[in-house]
Amino acid sequence: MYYYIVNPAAGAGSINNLQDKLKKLVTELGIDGEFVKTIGAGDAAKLAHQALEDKFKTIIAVGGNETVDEIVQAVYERGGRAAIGIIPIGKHNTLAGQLGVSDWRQACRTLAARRLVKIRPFSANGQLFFYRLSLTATAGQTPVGFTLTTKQGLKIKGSLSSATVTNQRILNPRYPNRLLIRIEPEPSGGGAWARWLPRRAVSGHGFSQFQTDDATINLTRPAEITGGLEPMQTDEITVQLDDQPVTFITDRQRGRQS
Amino acid sequence: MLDKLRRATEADPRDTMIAHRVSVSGELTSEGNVWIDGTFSGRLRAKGHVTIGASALVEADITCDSATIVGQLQGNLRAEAALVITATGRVRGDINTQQLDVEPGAILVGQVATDDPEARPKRQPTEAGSEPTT
Repeated sequence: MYYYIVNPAAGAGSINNLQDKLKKLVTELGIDGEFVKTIGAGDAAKLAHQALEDKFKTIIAVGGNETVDEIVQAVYERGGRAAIGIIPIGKHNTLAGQLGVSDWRQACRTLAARRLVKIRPFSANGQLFFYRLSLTATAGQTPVGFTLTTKQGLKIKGSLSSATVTNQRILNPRYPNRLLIRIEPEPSGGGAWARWLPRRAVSGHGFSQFQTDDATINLTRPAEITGGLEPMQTDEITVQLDDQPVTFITDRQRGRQS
Repeated sequence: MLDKLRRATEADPRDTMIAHRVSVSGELTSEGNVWIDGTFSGRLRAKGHVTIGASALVEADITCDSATIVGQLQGNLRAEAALVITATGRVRGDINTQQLDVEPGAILVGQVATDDPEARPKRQPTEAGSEPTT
């Protein structure tokens, strides 16, 4: 039986309009279960801990990023003993998007299919990240110099305006758990036509990207890191894959282009 | 159509890219394709296709499935399936591949070995001093 943790405030209360439809659909799909509602910040984590105490094997986050983050953190703290699914009804639904889930109806079908993928989170300066770390050069958006080194002896130098770190396995469950680091040299932009043009046709891909298990990034001035529980400013970031995976229900079979 | 073209040119998570004005040194291993527009020195092993772009400067020994050289490579290259050196390509090093295609204008200085005796450069380079040997 599934354990649904619903944030009634997510997406400006959008759950109130679709609650009956949602319950009807999950019943039709044979994935009904226990529905509980959060009443404030931190409540989703408490409810997730309770679900694990009660031996639920599947916890569904019905909400946005904050609800998902609390539940994922709670499940991780308990050794990843339950699978996590997401019904995205929040204003921001980042992890759901990365798992290929875009709306609540599709999410229900995905939950019924129950395609599982084990994702290893990663740490950055002691903070745990479950899907994406974003690094943004501040101070007027001018690029910041960086030197990136790995334990395997790779050294990368250049300048960046932003960078992201994610686990490539989220984007394609067939790929092994490895960090995918993407470095953008300049702020995105280039006019209205830019998004329609193939980047390679203009000047290669325009960004750098590679895979690793760890990396230390030194910057010539502090940059802002977001994507974890707390934003931070730093000029040195050490990222490393964590050993303990968390199991997600994904809609991805072969992955997507990033 | 544009959307289809854009998707075709976007990157797979397994691909490795080194952008223009980025320099990389060390041993690089990729499970996918590699595209280099910056500078790279060291050793490169890729299971997919390696592209050395027009602005790239590479000093490395490379092992890959196939490769296209548009920029400059100094080092030995083993491409299991095929290698293309375009008109702007500059290669100083030994080549080992099944199929070699050297466009007119390319420069190749080094030994060329092919596993298939029928596989020979399809077009000979035209610039002075560019004389591939097999």
